[in-house]
Amino acid sequence: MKEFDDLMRSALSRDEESLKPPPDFAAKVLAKTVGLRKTKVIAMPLWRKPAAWALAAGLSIAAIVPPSAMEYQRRREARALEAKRELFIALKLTRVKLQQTRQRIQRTTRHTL
Amino acid sequence: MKKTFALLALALPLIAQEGFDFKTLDKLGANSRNHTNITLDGDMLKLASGFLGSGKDSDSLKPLVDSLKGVYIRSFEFDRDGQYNEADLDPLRAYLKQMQWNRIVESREGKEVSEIYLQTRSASRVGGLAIIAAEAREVTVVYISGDIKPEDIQKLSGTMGIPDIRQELLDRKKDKEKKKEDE
Repeated sequence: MKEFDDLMRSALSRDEESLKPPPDFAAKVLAKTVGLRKTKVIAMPLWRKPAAWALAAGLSIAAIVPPSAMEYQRRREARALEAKRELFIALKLTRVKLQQTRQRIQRTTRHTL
Repeated sequence: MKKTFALLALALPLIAQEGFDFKTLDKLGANSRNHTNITLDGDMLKLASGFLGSGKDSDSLKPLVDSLKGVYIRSFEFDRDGQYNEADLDPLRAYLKQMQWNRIVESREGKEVSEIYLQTRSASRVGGLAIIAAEAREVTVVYISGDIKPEDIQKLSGTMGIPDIRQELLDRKKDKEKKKEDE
């Protein structure tokens, strides 16, 4: 039984030697780091960044749309007021002409009678 | 050939329904001193209707304006007698006749002519009102198309809150004189 225990213990025991890093481990890691440092970083100009374009477009829309909308509304109101003025003139002229015709008929009828 | 004529005959009333070209009346005003040209189509009338405001007068005017399809006025004033040719009104008369408008009033008193035409749709509905008023020094054409009730025509004889036209015309005259002076 003891033999079996010893066998198990030796099998499961920590093998310090196998856990040790190879002697050139540090050198390899350093070499990799140096390689990483050497990776070329390409700096993209601002005008090629989609976010910059989106921001510029947003700012342009914000700058152009409200004044255009206000101008459109102002012109529409001016047209409507002009149309209203013309409508009043037209209805008034119609009224005047209807009254004149009525008076003329009354006059001519009186003459005939 | 017969088919072509038949198609043409069918198309003619459709072409006629396109409406009268009021530019043909511009000849009347060639020698005019003052003129009033008003052309309000359906879209412009809708636009104007939206700006009528609120109030008793506007509320009564709005249904009438909403039912109109077009308002056309041509009015010319002349300095002297005989500065327009009454025959220039004939195309409009012919159009009204062709479109089966009824001349309900015709009054002639010397050189003064008044004609009122109605396009009747039913006993209670009128499809349009046209007035031709010609005097020695003034000629006016009023053409209103749309669904008009007879009581609306009566209403037109009232004020309906419409501003004084004389003042409007005086203002227009002043504006024109001012523009001429500026030029």
